[in-house]
Amino acid sequence: MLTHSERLSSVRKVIESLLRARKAIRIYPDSNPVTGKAVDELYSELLKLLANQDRLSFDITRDTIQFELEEIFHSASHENNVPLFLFRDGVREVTFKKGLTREEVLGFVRVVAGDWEQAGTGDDVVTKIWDQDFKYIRCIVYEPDMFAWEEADEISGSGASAEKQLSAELLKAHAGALLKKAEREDFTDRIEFSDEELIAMRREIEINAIDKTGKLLAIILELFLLAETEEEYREIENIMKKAVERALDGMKIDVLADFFINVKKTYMDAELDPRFKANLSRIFSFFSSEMFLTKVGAMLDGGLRLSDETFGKLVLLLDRRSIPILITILGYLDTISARKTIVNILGKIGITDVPAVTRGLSDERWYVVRNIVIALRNIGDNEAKQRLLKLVTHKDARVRREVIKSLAKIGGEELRGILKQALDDPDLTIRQTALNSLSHLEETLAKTLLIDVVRSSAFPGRDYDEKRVYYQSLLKYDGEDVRRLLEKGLRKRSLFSRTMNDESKAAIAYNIGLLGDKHFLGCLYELVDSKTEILRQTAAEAIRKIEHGA
Amino acid sequence: MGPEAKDVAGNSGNPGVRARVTGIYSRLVLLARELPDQMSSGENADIKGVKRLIQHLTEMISDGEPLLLGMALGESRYDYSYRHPVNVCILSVALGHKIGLSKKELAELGLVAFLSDIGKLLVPPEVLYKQGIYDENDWRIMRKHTVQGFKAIFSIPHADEQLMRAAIVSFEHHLHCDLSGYPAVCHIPEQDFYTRVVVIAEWYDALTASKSYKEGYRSPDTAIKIMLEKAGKELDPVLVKVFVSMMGIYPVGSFVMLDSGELGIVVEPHAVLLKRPRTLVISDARGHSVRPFIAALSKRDENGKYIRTITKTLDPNDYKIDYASFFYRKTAHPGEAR
Repeated sequence: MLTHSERLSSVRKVIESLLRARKAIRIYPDSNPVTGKAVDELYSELLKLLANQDRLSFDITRDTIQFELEEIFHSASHENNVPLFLFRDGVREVTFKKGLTREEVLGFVRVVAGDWEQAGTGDDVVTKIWDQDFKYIRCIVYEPDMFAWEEADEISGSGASAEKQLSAELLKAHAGALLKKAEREDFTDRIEFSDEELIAMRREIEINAIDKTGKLLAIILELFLLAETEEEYREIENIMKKAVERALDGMKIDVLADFFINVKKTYMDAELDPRFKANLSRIFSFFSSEMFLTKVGAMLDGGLRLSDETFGKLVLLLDRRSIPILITILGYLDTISARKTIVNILGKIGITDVPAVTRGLSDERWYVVRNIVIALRNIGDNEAKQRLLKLVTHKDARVRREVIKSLAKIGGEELRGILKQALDDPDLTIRQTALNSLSHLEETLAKTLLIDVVRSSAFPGRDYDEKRVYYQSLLKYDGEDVRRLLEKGLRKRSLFSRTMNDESKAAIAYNIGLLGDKHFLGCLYELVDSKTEILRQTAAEAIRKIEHGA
Repeated sequence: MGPEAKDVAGNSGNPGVRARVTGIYSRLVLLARELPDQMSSGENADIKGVKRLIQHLTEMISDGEPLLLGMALGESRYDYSYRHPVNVCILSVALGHKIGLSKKELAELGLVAFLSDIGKLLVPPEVLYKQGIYDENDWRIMRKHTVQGFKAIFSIPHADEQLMRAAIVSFEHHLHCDLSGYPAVCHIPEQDFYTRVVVIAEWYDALTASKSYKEGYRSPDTAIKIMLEKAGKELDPVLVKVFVSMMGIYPVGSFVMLDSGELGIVVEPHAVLLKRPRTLVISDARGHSVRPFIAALSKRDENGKYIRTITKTLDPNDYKIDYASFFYRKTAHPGEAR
């Protein structure tokens, strides 16, 4: 059993833990280990005390928390004043009871971690505590005005005069009743429910818990249809904007898309009053507005992932007017997935206005230009291709790389020439991109192109790794001509630039090892005594692979 | 607690309960009167206050306290326009409790129900309180109250999700289950679940009350009969059945004459037999006042015949009888029904 002073010390630890947990939960999400640890500590301190007693009651005053009439916490500051936070809404006592769960402790910390400035209709502390429906935490609340009328509103019913009046009224009622006809007997005496009805009712209750934003927006559209004056239209337009912003804040893109699809459908109704159409058009244009799309961009950056269905709806709703806004948004998005989504949208809606998309190519930021290139690739029509062809010589290699990839994907007669040129580009990454893009060419064309590069005078000057990759690519088009080229390469002698020539042989030897063809063993054995180390090693390795399969 | 302390409705007999119930009721009536002004003048509407009171109300209904229902079903000196939202709130929460909503959902439903007809309180008084028959223009103005209600609730600063639900119900509460009614809609596939609950409470309260723009008082049993007839078209059929099973054919507060000639007030529905509630007998067969006692109308004599049966219902508005006061009177034979 703890002494009084020991108990006071333990109780103070509870308050300290509560303050730490409150601070943690304000900074980190519930799932964060820091928060978890702080709540665990608080829970542990409470359990220690509740091991020896059934309940722990804390009195709350304006600036203090008291335990058994002793002040255990005092704060005059605003920010850390937990007692004032509880006190101002009427909480005068908080009791933790035996059986307390960690979940309830976490719930309590969430309540006391609430914002000080709860404007308007935000729930107060008492409502939040009530909503938690705690079983092991009880709060006593002082509500001076709640039942102030109880005396004044007592319904009179006592005293001799009241009794006398009652008797007279009863006699009058009795006489009146005798004159009335008897009740009909056609009422059912029992109400029965089928299993289907009960199941349906349970289902209704479950569905009722689901978010109502869609319904709210549907009603706003109804209000628009019911409006009679221009003033009403304006009023409802403002309501709609607020509702849309609210839905955006809640990241309910799918619901919003459905709403705007409904707006669009209504707009398309040929029988609508033209004035009404004009107002509806204004509402619809909100979907393509900078404010709306900027928020969507921020949500995508914040981790929102669109389902294919929602993406499809967005594409259906956006039109070419939104292209410049989307390009602007592209410039400041932080995450790859967000940029990818916007680029994909541009790729879909840009089909209707390729020049609008290409305007983004004049942006000074290379990454914006690169993303526009991807959008043009996704559009993939001749207009987009023509625009991309002009970018083959773009000053930034990162842009050029994306252009080559894009043109390769779109295909066409120009591709061979572009890839040929790219395979000779001074930038290694461009050459690699071009090499990877060869698969988009017809097989014979690709092989011829590769053979031409390998035979070119500049090729031996490239580094070993690049040459190795080229020969690896060449092997994809395996055939007599390729094998003759490889054999010739292995046997090639060079008086000058022997090291470069040996690296080329090493690159061939490496790939022959992968090929596993015994036909080349003779050539390879001739190279195992080479003075160039890399050639010796790759030749020996290739022989081992061919002979032992390892 | 000894049997002497029990009240006629079988409650704990805590003398504070009645005062508490009256306090909650009165305070909500006051708020119903103040809210429209607060909303139209741009003041901060006291939604927090409403929520707090409804939490208390929800607790009491969840605990089986019948006096709140008695207050909603009985007469009161308050203006009906301001009592109506409170009655609808109480009846909705009671119905929600019967269908198994959680405490949190009940409080939400209570708030939604309380605010559902707020648009009506924004109707110009010359129309709202007009004596006699409404003309077409009056009806046009009245019918706009659903839209007015939606706008008013939606525009409450920092309105939360509960208020958004209240706005929805306010808009829909004159729609019918089959989407007839008003306002005419074309983008709403069905009534909201809360709307369907609230509409039943509204119908019942409106049918059993006297107002200027409708035909006059209907007895509770007539109201129930009308509602059963409307089930499936204008009202949700399953919810109506739940409501009837909760209220009985003769709901709490019904002023009735028994086949014995005695007068009584229904205090508690029977769980199964809709026509046989527990009834507080307050007069003898000749109409003379007696010390009230509870009669269980489901009781039979040795021949299997019911001892007492309701034969007639009376309009409580015709007599100056304080029905609510009977709820907390001591019975002649406490704790045991005759």
